[in-house]
Amino acid sequence: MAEPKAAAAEEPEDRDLVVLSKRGDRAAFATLVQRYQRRVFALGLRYFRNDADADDLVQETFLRAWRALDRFEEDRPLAPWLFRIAANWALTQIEGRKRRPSEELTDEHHWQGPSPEEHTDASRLRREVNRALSELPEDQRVVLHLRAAEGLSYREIADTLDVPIGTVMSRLGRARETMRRKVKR
Amino acid sequence: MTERCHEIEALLSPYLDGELETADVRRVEAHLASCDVCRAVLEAMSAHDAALATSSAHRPEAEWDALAARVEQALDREQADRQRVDEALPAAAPRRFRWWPRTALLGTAGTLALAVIVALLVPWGGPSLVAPPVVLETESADGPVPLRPGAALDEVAAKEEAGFRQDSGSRLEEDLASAARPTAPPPAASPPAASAPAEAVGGLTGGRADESALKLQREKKAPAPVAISPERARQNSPTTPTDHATPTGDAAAAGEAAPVLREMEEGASASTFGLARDLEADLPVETELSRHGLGPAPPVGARSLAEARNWWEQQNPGDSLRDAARKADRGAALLSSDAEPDSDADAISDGRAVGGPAADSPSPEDRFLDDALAHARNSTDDRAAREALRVLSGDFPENRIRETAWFELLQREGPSALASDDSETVIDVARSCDAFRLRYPHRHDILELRARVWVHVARLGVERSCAGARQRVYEWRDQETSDLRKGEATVLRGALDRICGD
Repeated sequence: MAEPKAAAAEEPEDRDLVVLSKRGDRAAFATLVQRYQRRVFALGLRYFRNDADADDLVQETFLRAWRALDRFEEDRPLAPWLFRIAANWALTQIEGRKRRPSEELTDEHHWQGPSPEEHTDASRLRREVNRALSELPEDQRVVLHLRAAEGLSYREIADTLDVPIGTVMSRLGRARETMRRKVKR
Repeated sequence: MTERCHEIEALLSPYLDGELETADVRRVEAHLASCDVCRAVLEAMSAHDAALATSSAHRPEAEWDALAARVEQALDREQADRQRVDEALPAAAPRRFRWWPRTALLGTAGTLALAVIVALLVPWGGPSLVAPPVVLETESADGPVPLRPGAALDEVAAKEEAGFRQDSGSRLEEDLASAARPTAPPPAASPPAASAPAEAVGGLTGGRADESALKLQREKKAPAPVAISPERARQNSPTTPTDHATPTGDAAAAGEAAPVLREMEEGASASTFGLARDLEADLPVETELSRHGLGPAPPVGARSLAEARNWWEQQNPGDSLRDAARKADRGAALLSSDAEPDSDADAISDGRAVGGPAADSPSPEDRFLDDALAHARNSTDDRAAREALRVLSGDFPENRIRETAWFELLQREGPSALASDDSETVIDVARSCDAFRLRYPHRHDILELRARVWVHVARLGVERSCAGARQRVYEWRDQETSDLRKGEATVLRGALDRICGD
């Protein structure tokens, strides 16, 4: 495997990396993995609320992305496509668990801000908001994460989750309303 | 907070996201200019969003590196395993599907398979409908490649397996032994593979099952259960009449659709699944049966379907057609696990926002396959589920669907799912097991299943499969933690040695 970090001074565009990956360039794909694994993992945490499942989600997402790569148009943004793959897998897993209700999910993860955690109002709010988010129903959690943390448009979220735009809108409205009630200001 | 505030508050979330119409933006801004309460609500939402935007999942850098390495290793394993499979099975069968990125979406085979799946799914819960053996030919530039005839099942091996069954008493062994008995394949067992696509549909034409399906459709006046886009249909099927979507007798047809929808409303008929899907996709109804001269044109045209959908939505504002299909087919037990506290509000909102549930989704085939798979997996009608799983596990361009279907099928039936000497099919299953082994490296049941399937491949005399089977049996034995299971692996290895003449 090449050393993506060493060659990353110029930060190749996603598009170029996708084109190379489509030709079978594993090093290029590894760079994409490095670039997006945190975001896919974060989405996994919103779904599963534990590291182990989120790790599995990352692995499955990139395996599937690799297999399906030449169906992906390189001129389109990569993140929503990855999120869609991730969401499909996550929902399949969750549906399976509903039928086998033995597994308990816990939110073991710590969300942090951009710098090592400080004790400020901003950090306190961040903790409260993430705690409140983890208490929302899964569909609302994921929609709010994709919108607020990932900045996806309603259309992109709808495509990612395979739901109508109206559903995105209503889930977001409810999520924000609940969040506001839970987070003390 | 005033009544006006309640109205505006509902708009604040989309306003914050810049997703409101201009007129609503003006309304909101005019209100905000004079309302401190709503302004505070908006500021809170904005602050919470900002907090989420600056949150990231924290873990030590070494863990990120380890995760990336894990993905790399998974890709390595998969690549190596595929290579081993290809090397082990060079001439046994044409490549029926690709393991690597492909450019084509569903082709003719996929389209026809969709028709078959829906034909299977439609009557669930209603009159039993057994699918005839269906053959779906590979999309191959070289045309159909006849299978290398698999060797007949070895009687000696069957006896050995039977003896082994008595020893171990395991269900899988019984399954394996029954697979080894040279019995006729079950009704929808994997078919011989060398027939052309048109002939594949011919599989739908001659059997009593098709007559039943046609009769059912005539009685119910339901559209044929094929939900594919007209573009796709034309592209995939040059013989498809281009005028099939022309609505004829729409007014009457709308009247005919209503009783079906009433059935759906009552959750009384599982056969509404196909109709629900057609309605959901808002596609013109196309029927493979009538296309092949086996029945009248579908009674419900495109326009009347739209009308029927409107009727449905008016009657059931809190329920999407997708939900209705689920209710009809999956029953109350499943409903309880699917129930979402906000589903009613969602559906209402959906109707307002896009004029119907998921009508404009970019990949209806994907959604359909996922639904069909989930439907089959979740069905309480085991027989029907297995029939559908067989079709889904057939010659499908979607690896994901096929692999999962095979795995589900094997879990339900054990290796007896392979009651066929169709080596091509068996090799497909072996590949699926390999894929699942990679996906779930810690599951011993998959190790075992994979080893047994590979022994089956070897038993069929597939060239150079003995080495592949041996490797997988050894892997099962080596990684098995239970002494009892290790013993079974050893017995299986002995059987394999005899099969392979070692």
